[in-house]
Amino acid sequence: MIVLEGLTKRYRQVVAVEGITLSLEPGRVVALVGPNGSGKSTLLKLCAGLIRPTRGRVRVFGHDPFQRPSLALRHISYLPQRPELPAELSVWEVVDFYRRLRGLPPERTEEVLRTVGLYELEQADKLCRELSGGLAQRTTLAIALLAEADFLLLDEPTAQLDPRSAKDFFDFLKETHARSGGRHGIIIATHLLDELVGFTDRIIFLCGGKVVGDLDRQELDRQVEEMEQLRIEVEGDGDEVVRVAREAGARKVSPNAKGYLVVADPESRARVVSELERRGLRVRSLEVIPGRLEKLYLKLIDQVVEEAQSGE
Amino acid sequence: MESKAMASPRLRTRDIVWFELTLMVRDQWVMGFALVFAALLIGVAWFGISVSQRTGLMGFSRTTVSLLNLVIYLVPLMGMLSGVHSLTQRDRAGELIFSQPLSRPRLIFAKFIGQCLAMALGMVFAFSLTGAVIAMRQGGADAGGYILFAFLSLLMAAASVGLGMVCAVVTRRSMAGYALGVLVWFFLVALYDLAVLGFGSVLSEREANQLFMYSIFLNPIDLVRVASLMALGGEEIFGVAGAKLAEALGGYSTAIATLTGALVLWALVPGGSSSLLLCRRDLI
Repeated sequence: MIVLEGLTKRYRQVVAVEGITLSLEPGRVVALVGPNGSGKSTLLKLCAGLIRPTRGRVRVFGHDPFQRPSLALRHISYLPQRPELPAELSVWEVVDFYRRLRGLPPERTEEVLRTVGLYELEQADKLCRELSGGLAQRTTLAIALLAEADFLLLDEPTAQLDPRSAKDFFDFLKETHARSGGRHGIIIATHLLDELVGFTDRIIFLCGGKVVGDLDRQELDRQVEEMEQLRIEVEGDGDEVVRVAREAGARKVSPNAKGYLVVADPESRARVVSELERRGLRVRSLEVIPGRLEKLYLKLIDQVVEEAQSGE
Repeated sequence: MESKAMASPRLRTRDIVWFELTLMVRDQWVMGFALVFAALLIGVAWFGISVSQRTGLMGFSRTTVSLLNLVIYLVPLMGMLSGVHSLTQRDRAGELIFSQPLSRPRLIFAKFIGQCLAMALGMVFAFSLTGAVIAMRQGGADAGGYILFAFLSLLMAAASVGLGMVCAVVTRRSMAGYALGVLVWFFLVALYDLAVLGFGSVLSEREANQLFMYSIFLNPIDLVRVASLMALGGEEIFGVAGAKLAEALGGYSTAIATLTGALVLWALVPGGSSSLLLCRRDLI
């Protein structure tokens, strides 16, 4: 269990994280989402004992990761944003070095290199300076997976990758997590929101160093579903369309280049269509636009910005 | 949850030492340093021997004295830079290694030992080769002083690696760390003695003499310089001042032992300080 209590981190005048209180359980996939500078990386670094809190405290299974790294960090594997592999060592040598630091049996190096696919790709003997960005990130992931720690902390692991490699990385991560039976918790800071759908158990939205949203999967699915929209192309008077759709239960109707966007819960949608038809407004086309996590994210962030502006 | 496998602390220290050393060897730092250092030492020794033969001044000790200036300028600079390097390069002192379940003092100590060993490899190679050249040209007489000089230089290298690590921890930036390292080096090799002389000039003779004597202990480069010269024939080289220093420290042998002891402290204290400093700071 990672427990954060009233956690604040300041870098001179800049407040990176402010007053965060959270509990993170092992075995769950938790995403930290927020704009640049929202405090995601700082939060992960605090959990990994790389920086010291200005106020508040972090406890990893009861231990302070900054003061007692040898106890706290047994439960954590941290994957930094940029791979930091020594150029002149081979993939095998680097992974094996970290394996020895963790006191794991020698065969673990091969196992983990097989897990990330580097063994089969015959990349293990390559020098780290010869690796592509994607393979370097996989090597770093291999190091992070070595210990089978209770928490895998991933700090924007795809930030340095092209879209294809980023997608591959997430697919691989999901596969590895599924293969392990979800025994280990993952805490991931990322901007690739679409990759999180169906993978995360919880999303924590950060903005300005504060938690602005903390949703579990059920709540997340509900809120995303609520954002589903119906795009309808209708022949007829615009005002009439809006009035009829509203009467039929639409929460929001707005004109769009191709017709109208109607926001309504699934039951009301059918009613809106049949009511339009009944009033002689011919529906030429109909399309359900699924809700997207990205929209929810933008909505939350916009709310925070608006609140901040109104507060000023 | 507490039963997670961990290597014994001693094994982990050994692994980090190996890691540092391997990195220094692989990126050709050790080889480059060893070759350049050996070439310079042999060059200076060769010219020293030629001049001493022409002037009729022979002996291992005289040639060793001619190497002294080169060593006390070059070794601290290289040590300082490698100390900064070891804590500011992300591939060897980045988030990945500092997020391992290791105590920071152990990690820094192991890195310090690895850096010292890397420097020692290069220096032992260069000193051995140069010693062989001197022995071939002039015979092996007085080789003890040369060996002591080489040993003291190794301690000075360790002291400067430790100081470099302190510079890295204090500045927390690569370029600023190197800049501070060079400044500290310049102060120790050039400005320190001037400052002491200047300060001594406003004191009474007795106070100034005491200042000059104790100031040696505050500068590892002075310690090497004075201890080496004493070992290489202090009575001839130092004259009255050397005799007074030896007298104050209990004779020539005791003085050399005391100065060497102080140098051992210098080799350990900065490295230890950098560990303690980094324990209280965010990762560089």
